[in-house]
Amino acid sequence: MLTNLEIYRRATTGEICTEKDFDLKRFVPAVRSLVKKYGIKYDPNTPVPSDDDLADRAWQAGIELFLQTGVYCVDTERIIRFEPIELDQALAHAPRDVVVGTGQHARHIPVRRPESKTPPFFSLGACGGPVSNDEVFMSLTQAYAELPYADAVASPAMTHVDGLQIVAGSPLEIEGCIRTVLMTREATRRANRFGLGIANTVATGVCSQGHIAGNAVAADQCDLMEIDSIAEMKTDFDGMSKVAYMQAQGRTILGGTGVVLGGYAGGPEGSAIAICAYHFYALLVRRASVLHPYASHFRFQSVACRDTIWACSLAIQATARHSDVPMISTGVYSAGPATGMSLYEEAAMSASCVVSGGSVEVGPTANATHPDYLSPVEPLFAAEVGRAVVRMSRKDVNGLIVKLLDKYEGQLENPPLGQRYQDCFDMASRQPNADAREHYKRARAALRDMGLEFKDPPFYS
Amino acid sequence: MPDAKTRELLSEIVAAFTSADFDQIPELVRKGLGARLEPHVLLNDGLVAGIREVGEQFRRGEVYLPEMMLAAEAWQEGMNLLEPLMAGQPAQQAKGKVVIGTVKGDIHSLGKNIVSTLLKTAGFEVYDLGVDVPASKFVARALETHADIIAVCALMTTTMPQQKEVIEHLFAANKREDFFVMVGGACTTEEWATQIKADAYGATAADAVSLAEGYMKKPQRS
Repeated sequence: MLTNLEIYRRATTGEICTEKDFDLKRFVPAVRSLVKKYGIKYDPNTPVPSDDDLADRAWQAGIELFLQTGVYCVDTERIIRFEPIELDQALAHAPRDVVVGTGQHARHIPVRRPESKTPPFFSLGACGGPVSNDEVFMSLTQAYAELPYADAVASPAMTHVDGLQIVAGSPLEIEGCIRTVLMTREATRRANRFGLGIANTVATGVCSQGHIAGNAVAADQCDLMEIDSIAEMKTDFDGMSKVAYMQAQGRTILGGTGVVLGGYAGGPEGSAIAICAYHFYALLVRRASVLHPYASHFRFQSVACRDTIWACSLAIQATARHSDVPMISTGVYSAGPATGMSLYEEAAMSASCVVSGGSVEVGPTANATHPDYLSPVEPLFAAEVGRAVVRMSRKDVNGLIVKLLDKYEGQLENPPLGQRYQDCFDMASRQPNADAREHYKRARAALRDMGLEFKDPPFYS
Repeated sequence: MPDAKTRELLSEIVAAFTSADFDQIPELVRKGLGARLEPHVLLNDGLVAGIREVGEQFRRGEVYLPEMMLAAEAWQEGMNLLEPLMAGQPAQQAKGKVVIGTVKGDIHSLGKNIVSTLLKTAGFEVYDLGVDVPASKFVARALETHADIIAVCALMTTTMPQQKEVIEHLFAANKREDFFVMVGGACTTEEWATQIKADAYGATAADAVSLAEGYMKKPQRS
């Protein structure tokens, strides 16, 4: 496998190119021609495709895309290029058997295939959704850690430290990053689950110094360190510095392999092959051991739109058929907590990822825009649905998702904001109010009516 | 009233935009000039009409960012052919001048690029400062270009405060009233815009264009 120093060497000696030319003369034409060459075609009636040949073509297109475009380094304005053998080596030598957490809460992240019978891994939490203060942070994170299906917790992002708004790159970011990890760990202890891994260790961090500080002071080897990409197919020295530090500390890196549907990758077809290409980006540039695929919609942000579900499902299937690196999909949802819509969005995404061959990290609600518009009900429900679709066929899950889309698709333009955590939950007991409970009850009943057989009794009765 | 041949050529230019056949556009402009069409006709009824159609396609969700940006490139190539021939003729008046950028500490360019391109296609003169832009640079560039509007993008909760910085720099320079300041980006909200004393909040790129157009139509602008 290529070393970090070799990636740096290529970033400083590769072909010089302006960012605009990389976007418009390299990346965009390559995506468009590969979509045509490999006959990748989106079918809105099949948000979860069952076509293995289509998945294999998307995978090949992704490989070609990565080899054709390389990765752009915005700091050096050069292109980092790769050879086909290096992609083969990356797949062959990628880490296996990733374990998150310690002691009785250690969990193995499984490698899954489409329609796999292996239970998925669930990272439950806010996944970087913003919270306004420490009190909400602690209660909410403890409530996530108490969810019975949480294999790891995905913490919220702090927006304030002692009433002061955190600014990226400032000393407050350092403090916010350290507190995020310490408080998440304390929340797992209060939930009687000390040792539960943190999936997005420094959720508050933007700059490398914040990530490094959070890790150095508070994180553990058992946590996952998330390092995202830059849209599309770009890196910078800051991201490379995060990788350098995490590698030196022996941390397990969760590599972002998401795309913005409607951005440079274009529509669902281009987005699917770009996610496949990002697989190699994550392995070679981010040194990831776990991958984080998603397709976020350029207008609605939600990953649970019809076309984003299709792109992500196809890419997960393609990757799961050719790679042994575990995947945990992620993303944001448009509706806020204590609304039926947020539950249906998360159910659709969870079902799609699980049947396609991935595991699930349940992302933030209310588009991660409004502080405190988060709750444990949505991740819980996503996990219950994810567990229920194991052993179902892609065709059957597709039928379920089409019915779910009918329930919320029309609201994506103006999604309901719902209620803040402190309004829909009692912060001391961490129990939902009657409204949130009723939405949960109704959503379970609606999915049962759609033919889904839950394996678990309701957690909130 | 243009003759049938002229109308056909202008339709071909518009169709090249809407069918994403962007490479054809400079050639069609050359063809029009060869046929002695007036440059301002080729500009207004060809290039401008075509790029506006692409903007509409984008608003309807029929095309994506690549088509928008490639259309803007093709429009510029066509303009490069027409501009030297238009000396002395009244150039098309821009709807307004916009300085746009993503704030300091934030390297997210995609949303900002969508807004920037959509504003250009809607007829605004856009000065795109890129990403990781310090507050003082927004102010300096707006003063230098005599801009009407400053559009400030931020994606992260921890970079949003830099939007406030831009506004505070304007106050400090005693220039707050000289510009219409719009904010947007994934983590921003209407409440945030009000809190930091921005003039407007755009949830989407299309909103940003509507807000800019609405402001420029006001008789009593700042």
